[in-house]
This record gives sequence, C-alpha cells and structure tokens, in this order.
Amino acid sequence: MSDTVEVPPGLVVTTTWGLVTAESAQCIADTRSFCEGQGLKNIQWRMIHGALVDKARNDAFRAMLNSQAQWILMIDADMIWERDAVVRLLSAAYGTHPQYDVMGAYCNLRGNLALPTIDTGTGTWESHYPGQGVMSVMRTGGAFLLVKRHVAERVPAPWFALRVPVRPLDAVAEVDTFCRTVFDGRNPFRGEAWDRLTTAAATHPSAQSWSAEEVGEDSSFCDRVTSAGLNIGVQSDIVVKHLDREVKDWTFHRKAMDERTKQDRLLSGFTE
Amino acid sequence: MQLEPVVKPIRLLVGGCSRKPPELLRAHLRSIEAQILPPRVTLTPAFVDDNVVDESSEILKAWIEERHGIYLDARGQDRPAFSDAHPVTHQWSGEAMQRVGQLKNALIRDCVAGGYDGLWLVDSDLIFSPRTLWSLFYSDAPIACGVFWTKWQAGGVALPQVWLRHPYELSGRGMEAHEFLRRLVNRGRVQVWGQGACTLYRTEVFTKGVSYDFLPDLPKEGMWQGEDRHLCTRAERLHVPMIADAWPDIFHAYHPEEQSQGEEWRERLSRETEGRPVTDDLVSLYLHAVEPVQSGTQWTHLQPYHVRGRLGRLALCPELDDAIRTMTRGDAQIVSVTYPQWSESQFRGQKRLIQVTLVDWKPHADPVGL
Repeated sequence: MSDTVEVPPGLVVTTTWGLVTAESAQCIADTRSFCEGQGLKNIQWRMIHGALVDKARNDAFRAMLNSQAQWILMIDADMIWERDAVVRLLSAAYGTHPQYDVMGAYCNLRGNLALPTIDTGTGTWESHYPGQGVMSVMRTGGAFLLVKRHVAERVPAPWFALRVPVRPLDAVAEVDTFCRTVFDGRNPFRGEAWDRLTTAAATHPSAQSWSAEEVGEDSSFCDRVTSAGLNIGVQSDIVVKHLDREVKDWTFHRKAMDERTKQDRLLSGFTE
Repeated sequence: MQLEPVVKPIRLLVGGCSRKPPELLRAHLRSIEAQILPPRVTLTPAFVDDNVVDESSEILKAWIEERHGIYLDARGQDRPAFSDAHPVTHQWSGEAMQRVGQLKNALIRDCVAGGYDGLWLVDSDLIFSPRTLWSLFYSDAPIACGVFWTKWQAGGVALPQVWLRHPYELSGRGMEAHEFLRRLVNRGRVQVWGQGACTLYRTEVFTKGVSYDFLPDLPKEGMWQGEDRHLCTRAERLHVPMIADAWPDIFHAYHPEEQSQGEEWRERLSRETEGRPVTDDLVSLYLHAVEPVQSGTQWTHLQPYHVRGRLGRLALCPELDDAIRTMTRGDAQIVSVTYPQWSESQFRGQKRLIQVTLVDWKPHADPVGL
C-alpha cells in the first residue's frame, strides 16, 4: 500500500447551537494548522449554527452538497481531540479502510458511565475501550463523524431527525400493510423469511412490554445509512473527548482526599 | 575524654479529676503504673482529689506522694449535683461539668508552668492496657485520644467516646456513621472533632489557647454542657487537629456493676504477647519514605504514614512484610523495596528505601467493650 493517501476536497463543520467552548476552538485552530502543514489545503472549515442539533447537521449536509466537497466531517462544539485526529480519520476513510461510507472516532457520552458511542449490533451503546482499530458498527454518534458525499446523495433528506420508534410487532404489521397497499393487495415478501421476522417480533420482549424511547438524530441517521446498504465504521484509535460540566460537592472532595491518601500509601511502600 | 550527646528527657504529666470508689481507683492507678513508656519518657502523676470517699482520697494521696507528683485537693469545695450511680446512665448537672472543667484547667496550668512536654488527661474509671500511652505517644498528633467503647445506656449498643460533630454525632465531615465506626473498630487513627477522657495533649496546644474554659457562644443545654465540647471547639477554632487512636484496649467501668471489675480487667489487659508478629496479628506501624519524591519541579519529603491492620493482609511490598516479621515493638529498619510490576505505584519495577517502625503488635481481637 502506498504511503500517500489521496484525499478529495472536503468540509469540516463545527455544529453548534450558539456556543463553542474555548477548548474546542483551540482544537479546531490546532487541527487546521496541522492539516495545512500536511498539505491538506483543500478543506473548508466552517461553523454552522442551529438551535436544534438535527437542523444544524442537515444544514451542514446541504452545505456539502452545494459545494465541491466530497466528504464532510461534523464536529460538535463541546469536544476536544489531538491535532492529528482529522488527518488520521481521513487516512482511515480514504487509505486503509475505504470500504466505509461513514466513519466516526472513539467518543464518550456524558454521564457517569461515559459509554463510547459504539453499537456493534446490540441496539444500545456498548462498553469498549480505545485501541481496537476500525470497528464495524450499526450506529455511532455524530460528535466527530465523517460522511462521504455519496451517502448524502443516496439517503434522502432530511438525513438527521429524532425518531420515535414503533414496537417491532407493529412495524412488521405496518410494512405488511404498506406492501399490500402498493403491490396490488399482496405482500410479495411473505414466505419463510417473513415468517421468521413475524415470529421474532411476536416473541421479542418488546411485544409484552414496550416503552418508546426516542432514537437520537445521529442514531436515526445511522439506521438509514445501514438500511441503504452502506457501511459505518469507528476508528477506535482516535480518541475524541467530551467536555462536560461537573457539579463538585463534598463527595467529589471526599474522592479526591481518598485518592491523595492512596497516593501517600503507594509512596510509602504499599503496592495498591 | 568521651563526648556524649545530651538527650533531652520527655516529661509528661498524667492525671485527671478523680472521684471513684477505692477498688476501681486502685485498679486505675495500677494500670497507669504498668504503662510501658516510650524511650526518654518520664511520667509524673497530677490529680485533683474530688473524692467523696475518704479511703479513695487516702489511696490517691499516698500514690501521688510516692511518685513525687502533684496533688490538688478539691474536696472542700461546693459540689453541684452529680451521680454515677443511676441504673441507666450518669446524671451530671451543667454546673458539675463546668466545675470539672475548671479543675482540669488547674492541671493544664500545672503542665505549662512546670515545663512539662505534655499532659495525659485520664478519667478515673478507665483501666488501660500497658501500651496505651505508648500508642498515643506514637500517634504523632498534638492531641491524641485513646478510644474506648461504652454502652451509654444499659442494654444498648457500645459506642465510642469520640465523635465527628457536636454534641455527639458519629456522622459528618465526609463520613457516614458506619464508615466512622468501622475505622475505629479496625483500630484506625482517625481525625475527630469531639473527644475526651483519655487524651495525650502536647503542651504547645495549651500555650495556643486550648483549655476547658467555657465558650459563651455555644449552646447551653443537654450534652453541650459537657466540658469536653468546649475544649474541642477551642481546638477546632485554633486549627489544632485531634486524632482518635483506636489501637489501645481500654476498659470503661461505666455502670455501677462494672466498677467492681476494675482489677479483673487490669489483670486481663496487662497480658502482653512477647516475640514477633506473625500472619493475622494486628500491627501498628508507620512507614516513612526515606527518599524524597518529585512533585512538579519540587522534591518533597513525605510525612510518616501510619498503618494499622493485620499482618499478611496489608498490601505492602513483600520486603516490608518480611521485615516486620523480624521486628519487636519499637524497632525501626530501613528496608530496600522493589515495587512489583503489578503495583499501582508510580515506582513499579523500581527500588525505594522505606523506613518501617513497628509501634506495637498483638493477636487479633475486637476492641474491649464491643
């Protein structure tokens, strides 16, 4: 494999509802400087405002389609990363793993568990750690997400939208009805595979107990990409961190004091 | 001519305000007499005689005179209402507690005026194991209080005489009550904000202003009237830390039926196992990193780290564990340790010099009174 990766023109967009953290702004400046130092001068760097995150992301896609850009990298305004992260992501998307149409980085959610936005097929965010190379996923988040232009062209707009999912059993009935409506009163997919689908939906726990939880705009986008037969990957060697506000109270202080005591122990001959 | 370094003796006063039956007082004094003293330490008695039984006064006075101590007679004074004989708990009026505070202040004054290095203030209904003062001394605190456990209400659960918040709260300061109690049951060395009855005060805390003088801004009802609350609040306001030392075994003859058990407990507590500690024995030690550690651009020397626990169950570097098994009480050794590769320490795989001092050890047992 050649050491040189040809990267088409692209667009790096910071999507924000109005505020960009100082840390993220510094990362953008450092990253742009690094990219240009590597010769990547065919990248536009923009900021797109939107009161709602799905609107900002859809506007970013339209901006790509209205330009010569062959890819878009969306970055949330509350993330921080190493200056070479964009170069490494492009290297994976256009060099080592060109089969992926969408590629994200290893990003953690807010909250105590700080799960990474990696769903390899369980339908939920899974516990993974960085350093596993490029992973095939069913869903990932939109906080640091590269999307190639043909994805935006193949999947109809709007690409990003919150979705309230229906119960799988109802979804099967809905599709069956749709088929009969558009295919002259019959569902041409009926057969062994359809029966398996119906049985799976009927015996799934959701058939007994169902509470509809919104599917985020980024997961919803991934569902549509996957449904269109396209591939999503996460380059888990690129770590992008989520800035978060933390309420610090006495419990935090207690943990810090305990940690200090532990350090004293370790320096005084204890092994743990 | 041979030159010898001058070693300054450490002079401590021991005493309190005494008003106990003869049998209990005798056992109490014997348990003081049996204290094994740290090197260079001398102990001088200093008691306020507040007894109501003549025999107790005679015992106390003779004992002090034999040891050339300080005897203060408070028997002629007016005595506000008090009683230790109640079947459920002690009954002391606010005035009685205030008066006791003033009597203890007299001992503090003697300590400062006599140029003593410290005052071990004790209640006369306590029976001490022989290493009690030893442990308090090595606790390395300006105020170190030996912990004992008492069923304050007859038939109730045993609780310590140290606390975190006034007037007697066992939770707070970042700790739940069960955590605080567990640390004490595990013989820990814990900072407290309320204590009394068996406390070694270094003299400098008195010159700073720690005393039993009542503070006018504290509540005046219930347990707040206890003289200890006023002293402890003064210490807190003067930023003098108080350490509860749960290592020594101390018997508290609190209820009337326990007052005749003093001598029996003195004998029981006086038994000390000789030799060296083995696996599962309780050990009290401190570790001191001989070499400084880098912190930013500075090199700093760490304070000694006090450890209480069961030998073999402490996650120590193996060389330290081995060294402790060769030591007797009071021994110190500098040990070259290599932190294992699996250690969480930043020094994993590296050699460091650690000085270990074995303060005390004993077979594992729950604290007396639990």
